[in-house]
Amino acid sequence: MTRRDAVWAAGAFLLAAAVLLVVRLGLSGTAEANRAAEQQSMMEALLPGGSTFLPVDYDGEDENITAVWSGETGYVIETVVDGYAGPIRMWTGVSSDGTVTGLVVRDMGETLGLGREALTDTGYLAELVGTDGTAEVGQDVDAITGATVTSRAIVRSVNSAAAYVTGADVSTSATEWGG
Amino acid sequence: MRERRIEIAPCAAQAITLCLVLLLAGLGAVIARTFVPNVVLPRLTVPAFAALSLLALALEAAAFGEKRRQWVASFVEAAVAFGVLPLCAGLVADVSAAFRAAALGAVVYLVCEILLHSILDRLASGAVKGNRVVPFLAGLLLWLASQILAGVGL
Repeated sequence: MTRRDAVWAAGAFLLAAAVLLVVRLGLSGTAEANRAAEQQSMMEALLPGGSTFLPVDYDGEDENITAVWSGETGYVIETVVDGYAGPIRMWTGVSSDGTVTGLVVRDMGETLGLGREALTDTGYLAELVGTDGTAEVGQDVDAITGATVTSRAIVRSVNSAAAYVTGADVSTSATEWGG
Repeated sequence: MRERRIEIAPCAAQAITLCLVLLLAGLGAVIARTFVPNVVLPRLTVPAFAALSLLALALEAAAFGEKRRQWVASFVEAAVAFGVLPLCAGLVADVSAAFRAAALGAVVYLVCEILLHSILDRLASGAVKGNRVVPFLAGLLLWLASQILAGVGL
Protein backbone atom coordinates (compact mmCIF):
# COMPACT_ATOMS: atom_id res chain seq x y z
CA MET A 1 0.00 0.00 0.00
CA THR A 2 1.50 3.28 -1.07
CA ARG A 3 1.13 6.50 0.88
CA ARG A 4 -1.37 7.82 -1.64
CA ASP A 5 -3.51 4.69 -1.27
CA ALA A 6 -3.43 4.96 2.51
CA VAL A 7 -4.61 8.55 2.27
CA TRP A 8 -7.47 7.49 -0.02
CA ALA A 9 -8.54 4.74 2.38
CA ALA A 10 -8.25 6.83 5.53
CA GLY A 11 -10.02 9.74 3.87
CA ALA A 12 -12.93 7.52 2.86
CA PHE A 13 -13.32 6.19 6.43
CA LEU A 14 -13.08 9.60 8.05
CA LEU A 15 -15.45 11.28 5.61
CA ALA A 16 -18.09 8.55 5.96
CA ALA A 17 -17.81 8.55 9.76
CA ALA A 18 -18.05 12.34 9.95
CA VAL A 19 -21.11 12.50 7.68
CA LEU A 20 -22.91 9.80 9.66
CA LEU A 21 -22.15 11.44 12.99
CA VAL A 22 -23.22 14.89 11.87
CA VAL A 23 -26.48 13.66 10.32
CA ARG A 24 -27.36 11.47 13.31
CA LEU A 25 -26.66 14.15 15.89
CA GLY A 26 -28.40 16.78 13.80
CA LEU A 27 -31.56 14.68 13.57
CA SER A 28 -31.53 13.32 17.13
CA GLY A 29 -34.03 15.87 18.48
CA THR A 30 -36.48 15.27 15.65
CA ALA A 31 -36.02 11.52 15.97
CA GLU A 32 -36.82 11.54 19.68
CA ALA A 33 -39.93 13.70 19.21
CA ASN A 34 -41.18 11.53 16.34
CA ARG A 35 -40.52 8.36 18.32
CA ALA A 36 -42.55 9.60 21.29
CA ALA A 37 -45.42 10.69 19.05
CA GLU A 38 -45.39 7.39 17.18
CA GLN A 39 -45.38 5.44 20.46
CA GLN A 40 -48.44 7.35 21.73
CA SER A 41 -50.38 6.96 18.48
CA MET A 42 -49.47 3.26 18.26
CA MET A 43 -50.67 2.61 21.80
CA GLU A 44 -53.92 4.47 21.13
CA ALA A 45 -54.45 2.27 18.08
CA LEU A 46 -53.73 -0.92 20.03
CA LEU A 47 -55.92 0.01 23.00
CA PRO A 48 -58.78 2.29 21.93
CA GLY A 49 -59.75 4.70 24.68
CA GLY A 50 -56.51 4.11 26.52
CA SER A 51 -55.81 7.84 26.54
CA THR A 52 -52.71 8.38 28.65
CA PHE A 53 -50.29 5.48 28.96
CA LEU A 54 -48.02 5.17 31.97
CA PRO A 55 -45.21 2.63 32.41
CA VAL A 56 -45.85 -0.05 35.04
CA ASP A 57 -43.14 -2.03 36.84
CA TYR A 58 -43.49 -5.70 35.95
CA ASP A 59 -42.52 -8.15 38.70
CA GLY A 60 -44.23 -11.29 37.39
CA GLU A 61 -42.59 -14.55 36.41
CA ASP A 62 -43.31 -14.57 32.68
CA GLU A 63 -39.94 -14.03 31.02
CA ASN A 64 -41.67 -13.08 27.76
CA ILE A 65 -42.97 -9.81 29.18
CA THR A 66 -40.43 -6.99 29.02
CA ALA A 67 -42.52 -3.84 29.58
CA VAL A 68 -46.06 -2.83 30.53
CA TRP A 69 -47.96 0.42 30.11
CA SER A 70 -51.33 1.01 31.70
CA GLY A 71 -54.11 3.00 30.04
CA GLU A 72 -57.60 3.90 31.18
CA THR A 73 -59.20 0.90 29.48
CA GLY A 74 -56.46 -1.70 29.85
CA TYR A 75 -52.80 -2.31 29.16
CA VAL A 76 -50.27 -2.34 26.36
CA ILE A 77 -47.74 -5.11 26.96
CA GLU A 78 -44.38 -5.55 25.30
CA THR A 79 -43.21 -9.12 24.85
CA VAL A 80 -40.09 -10.64 23.39
CA VAL A 81 -40.14 -14.28 22.26
CA ASP A 82 -37.75 -16.30 20.12
CA GLY A 83 -38.84 -16.76 16.53
CA TYR A 84 -37.16 -18.72 13.75
CA ALA A 85 -34.31 -16.24 13.28
CA GLY A 86 -34.00 -14.42 16.57
CA PRO A 87 -36.24 -12.61 19.01
CA ILE A 88 -39.57 -11.09 17.97
CA ARG A 89 -40.61 -7.96 19.88
CA MET A 90 -44.33 -7.21 19.96
CA TRP A 91 -46.79 -4.84 21.56
CA THR A 92 -50.20 -6.20 22.45
CA GLY A 93 -53.17 -4.17 23.64
CA VAL A 94 -55.30 -6.00 26.21
CA SER A 95 -58.50 -4.52 27.66
CA SER A 96 -59.21 -4.67 31.38
CA ASP A 97 -61.34 -7.81 30.90
CA GLY A 98 -58.44 -9.69 29.30
CA THR A 99 -59.50 -9.42 25.67
CA VAL A 100 -56.82 -8.71 23.08
CA THR A 101 -57.66 -5.42 21.34
CA GLY A 102 -54.70 -5.09 19.01
CA LEU A 103 -51.17 -6.24 18.31
CA VAL A 104 -48.20 -5.14 16.30
CA VAL A 105 -44.77 -6.55 15.59
CA ARG A 106 -42.21 -3.90 16.57
CA ASP A 107 -39.02 -5.73 15.68
CA MET A 108 -38.05 -9.04 14.15
CA GLY A 109 -35.38 -10.68 12.03
CA GLU A 110 -37.42 -13.39 10.40
CA THR A 111 -36.75 -14.73 6.91
CA LEU A 112 -37.72 -12.54 3.98
CA GLY A 113 -40.79 -13.86 2.19
CA LEU A 114 -41.65 -16.30 5.01
CA GLY A 115 -41.71 -15.34 8.70
CA ARG A 116 -41.30 -11.67 7.86
CA GLU A 117 -44.75 -11.83 6.25
CA ALA A 118 -46.11 -11.66 9.80
CA LEU A 119 -45.22 -7.99 9.80
CA THR A 120 -47.76 -7.18 7.13
CA ASP A 121 -50.17 -10.10 7.18
CA THR A 122 -53.05 -8.20 8.77
CA GLY A 123 -55.41 -11.10 8.15
CA TYR A 124 -53.30 -13.36 10.32
CA LEU A 125 -52.71 -10.78 13.05
CA ALA A 126 -56.42 -9.86 13.09
CA GLU A 127 -57.28 -13.47 13.96
CA LEU A 128 -55.69 -12.88 17.36
CA VAL A 129 -57.75 -9.80 18.15
CA GLY A 130 -60.60 -10.76 20.48
CA THR A 131 -58.81 -13.79 21.93
CA ASP A 132 -58.35 -14.10 25.69
CA GLY A 133 -54.94 -15.71 26.15
CA THR A 134 -55.87 -19.26 25.28
CA ALA A 135 -55.39 -19.17 21.50
CA GLU A 136 -53.61 -22.07 19.82
CA VAL A 137 -52.14 -22.35 16.34
CA GLY A 138 -54.15 -24.79 14.25
CA GLN A 139 -57.24 -24.50 16.42
CA ASP A 140 -58.10 -20.86 17.05
CA VAL A 141 -55.78 -19.28 14.50
CA ASP A 142 -54.09 -20.50 11.33
CA ALA A 143 -50.33 -20.56 10.83
CA ILE A 144 -48.67 -18.36 8.24
CA THR A 145 -47.77 -20.57 5.30
CA GLY A 146 -44.12 -21.62 5.53
CA ALA A 147 -43.65 -19.89 8.87
CA THR A 148 -45.07 -22.16 11.56
CA VAL A 149 -42.37 -21.30 14.11
CA THR A 150 -42.99 -17.57 13.67
CA SER A 151 -46.75 -18.09 13.92
CA ARG A 152 -46.42 -20.01 17.16
CA ALA A 153 -44.06 -17.42 18.60
CA ILE A 154 -46.56 -14.66 17.89
CA VAL A 155 -49.42 -16.59 19.46
CA ARG A 156 -47.34 -17.32 22.57
CA SER A 157 -46.50 -13.65 22.76
CA VAL A 158 -50.15 -12.61 22.60
CA ASN A 159 -51.16 -15.26 25.14
CA SER A 160 -48.49 -14.02 27.56
CA ALA A 161 -49.79 -10.48 27.23
CA ALA A 162 -53.41 -11.50 27.84
CA ALA A 163 -52.39 -13.70 30.76
CA TYR A 164 -50.83 -10.67 32.44
CA VAL A 165 -54.28 -9.08 32.66
CA THR A 166 -56.37 -12.19 33.35
CA GLY A 167 -54.09 -13.24 36.19
CA ALA A 168 -52.87 -16.44 34.58
CA ASP A 169 -49.42 -14.85 34.63
CA VAL A 170 -46.98 -17.72 34.96
CA SER A 171 -43.66 -18.58 33.37
CA THR A 172 -44.55 -20.17 30.06
CA SER A 173 -41.07 -21.14 28.91
CA ALA A 174 -42.44 -19.89 25.67
CA THR A 175 -39.12 -19.27 24.06
CA GLU A 176 -38.56 -22.78 22.80
CA TRP A 177 -38.89 -23.47 19.13
CA GLY A 178 -42.25 -24.68 18.02
CA GLY A 179 -43.44 -25.55 21.49
CA MET B 1 -14.26 1.90 -28.03
CA ARG B 2 -11.79 1.16 -25.26
CA GLU B 3 -13.32 0.65 -21.84
CA ARG B 4 -12.25 3.20 -19.23
CA ARG B 5 -11.59 2.18 -15.63
CA ILE B 6 -10.36 4.28 -12.75
CA GLU B 7 -6.78 3.36 -11.85
CA ILE B 8 -6.39 2.95 -8.12
CA ALA B 9 -4.78 0.41 -5.81
CA PRO B 10 -7.04 -2.50 -4.71
CA CYS B 11 -6.97 -1.64 -1.01
CA ALA B 12 -7.95 1.97 -1.66
CA ALA B 13 -10.70 0.88 -4.05
CA GLN B 14 -12.02 -1.51 -1.41
CA ALA B 15 -12.04 1.17 1.25
CA ILE B 16 -13.83 3.68 -0.96
CA THR B 17 -16.57 1.31 -2.13
CA LEU B 18 -17.14 -0.25 1.30
CA CYS B 19 -17.32 3.17 2.97
CA LEU B 20 -19.68 4.42 0.27
CA VAL B 21 -22.04 1.48 0.71
CA LEU B 22 -21.96 1.66 4.52
CA LEU B 23 -22.43 5.43 4.40
CA LEU B 24 -25.55 5.13 2.23
CA ALA B 25 -26.93 2.28 4.34
CA GLY B 26 -26.24 4.20 7.55
CA LEU B 27 -27.84 7.39 6.22
CA GLY B 28 -30.87 5.38 5.11
CA ALA B 29 -31.19 3.84 8.58
CA VAL B 30 -30.81 7.19 10.38
CA ILE B 31 -33.38 8.88 8.14
CA ALA B 32 -35.81 5.96 8.43
CA ARG B 33 -35.54 5.91 12.21
CA THR B 34 -36.09 9.65 12.35
CA PHE B 35 -39.04 10.05 10.03
CA VAL B 36 -40.57 6.55 10.07
CA PRO B 37 -39.90 5.44 13.66
CA ASN B 38 -42.11 2.36 13.42
CA VAL B 39 -40.10 0.91 10.54
CA VAL B 40 -38.58 -2.52 11.20
CA LEU B 41 -35.01 -2.35 9.95
CA PRO B 42 -33.02 -5.48 9.11
CA ARG B 43 -30.89 -6.68 12.02
CA LEU B 44 -27.11 -6.86 11.81
CA THR B 45 -27.02 -10.55 10.99
CA VAL B 46 -24.89 -12.48 8.51
CA PRO B 47 -27.25 -11.79 5.55
CA ALA B 48 -27.16 -8.05 6.31
CA PHE B 49 -23.36 -8.02 6.50
CA ALA B 50 -23.25 -10.18 3.35
CA ALA B 51 -25.58 -7.82 1.47
CA LEU B 52 -23.43 -4.80 2.30
CA SER B 53 -20.18 -6.64 1.59
CA LEU B 54 -21.33 -8.11 -1.71
CA LEU B 55 -22.74 -4.79 -2.90
CA ALA B 56 -19.45 -3.08 -2.12
CA LEU B 57 -17.42 -5.84 -3.79
CA ALA B 58 -19.64 -5.84 -6.88
CA LEU B 59 -19.41 -2.06 -7.13
CA GLU B 60 -15.66 -2.27 -6.80
CA ALA B 61 -15.39 -4.92 -9.51
CA ALA B 62 -17.65 -2.94 -11.84
CA ALA B 63 -15.96 0.41 -11.26
CA PHE B 64 -12.33 -0.52 -10.84
CA GLY B 65 -12.13 -3.88 -12.61
CA GLU B 66 -10.57 -7.12 -11.45
CA LYS B 67 -7.44 -6.64 -9.37
CA ARG B 68 -5.07 -8.83 -7.41
CA ARG B 69 -6.57 -9.32 -3.96
CA GLN B 70 -4.89 -8.41 -0.69
CA TRP B 71 -6.66 -10.55 1.88
CA VAL B 72 -5.08 -9.10 5.03
CA ALA B 73 -5.77 -5.53 3.95
CA SER B 74 -9.34 -6.53 3.09
CA PHE B 75 -9.89 -8.01 6.53
CA VAL B 76 -8.47 -4.98 8.35
CA GLU B 77 -10.38 -2.46 6.24
CA ALA B 78 -13.63 -4.36 6.66
CA ALA B 79 -13.10 -4.63 10.42
CA VAL B 80 -12.56 -0.88 10.71
CA ALA B 81 -15.49 -0.04 8.44
CA PHE B 82 -17.98 -2.42 10.08
CA GLY B 83 -16.81 -1.47 13.54
CA VAL B 84 -16.77 2.31 13.24
CA LEU B 85 -19.45 3.30 10.72
CA PRO B 86 -22.43 1.44 12.30
CA LEU B 87 -21.41 2.96 15.64
CA CYS B 88 -21.46 6.44 14.09
CA ALA B 89 -24.90 5.73 12.61
CA GLY B 90 -26.23 4.47 15.95
CA LEU B 91 -26.90 0.99 14.56
CA VAL B 92 -24.96 -0.70 17.37
CA ALA B 93 -25.61 0.09 20.99
CA ASP B 94 -22.13 0.43 22.44
CA VAL B 95 -18.43 -0.14 21.89
CA SER B 96 -18.52 -3.85 22.76
CA ALA B 97 -21.26 -4.34 20.15
CA ALA B 98 -19.11 -2.38 17.70
CA PHE B 99 -16.23 -4.81 18.30
CA ARG B 100 -18.55 -7.74 17.62
CA ALA B 101 -19.80 -6.01 14.46
CA ALA B 102 -16.20 -5.44 13.38
CA ALA B 103 -15.26 -9.09 13.88
CA LEU B 104 -18.36 -10.55 12.23
CA GLY B 105 -18.37 -7.99 9.43
CA ALA B 106 -14.71 -8.57 8.61
CA VAL B 107 -15.14 -12.34 8.49
CA VAL B 108 -18.27 -12.11 6.33
CA TYR B 109 -16.60 -9.57 4.03
CA LEU B 110 -13.53 -11.75 3.58
CA VAL B 111 -15.58 -14.88 2.87
CA CYS B 112 -17.76 -12.95 0.41
CA GLU B 113 -14.67 -11.54 -1.28
CA ILE B 114 -13.10 -14.97 -1.68
CA LEU B 115 -16.30 -16.52 -3.03
CA LEU B 116 -17.26 -13.64 -5.33
CA HIS B 117 -13.80 -13.34 -6.87
CA SER B 118 -13.59 -17.10 -7.29
CA ILE B 119 -16.76 -16.89 -9.36
CA LEU B 120 -15.54 -13.84 -11.29
CA ASP B 121 -12.18 -15.49 -11.97
CA ARG B 122 -13.94 -18.51 -13.43
CA LEU B 123 -16.15 -16.29 -15.59
CA ALA B 124 -13.25 -14.10 -16.74
CA SER B 125 -12.29 -16.49 -19.53
CA GLY B 126 -15.81 -16.60 -20.94
CA ALA B 127 -17.96 -14.37 -23.10
CA VAL B 128 -19.12 -12.26 -20.15
CA LYS B 129 -15.64 -10.93 -19.38
CA GLY B 130 -15.80 -7.22 -18.65
CA ASN B 131 -19.59 -7.18 -18.30
CA ARG B 132 -20.41 -4.88 -15.40
CA VAL B 133 -23.65 -6.65 -14.55
CA VAL B 134 -21.98 -9.99 -13.82
CA PRO B 135 -20.53 -9.03 -10.39
CA PHE B 136 -23.96 -7.92 -9.23
CA LEU B 137 -25.66 -11.12 -10.41
CA ALA B 138 -22.99 -13.27 -8.79
CA GLY B 139 -23.32 -11.21 -5.61
CA LEU B 140 -27.09 -11.66 -5.62
CA LEU B 141 -26.71 -15.44 -5.79
CA LEU B 142 -24.24 -15.43 -2.91
CA TRP B 143 -26.53 -13.22 -0.84
CA LEU B 144 -29.42 -15.59 -1.37
CA ALA B 145 -27.20 -18.41 -0.14
CA SER B 146 -26.31 -16.38 2.96
CA GLN B 147 -29.96 -16.48 4.06
CA ILE B 148 -29.26 -19.85 5.60
CA LEU B 149 -27.37 -17.97 8.35
CA ALA B 150 -30.22 -15.52 9.01
CA GLY B 151 -30.26 -16.27 12.73
CA VAL B 152 -26.55 -15.53 13.25
CA GLY B 153 -25.69 -11.99 14.19
CA LEU B 154 -25.26 -9.43 16.92
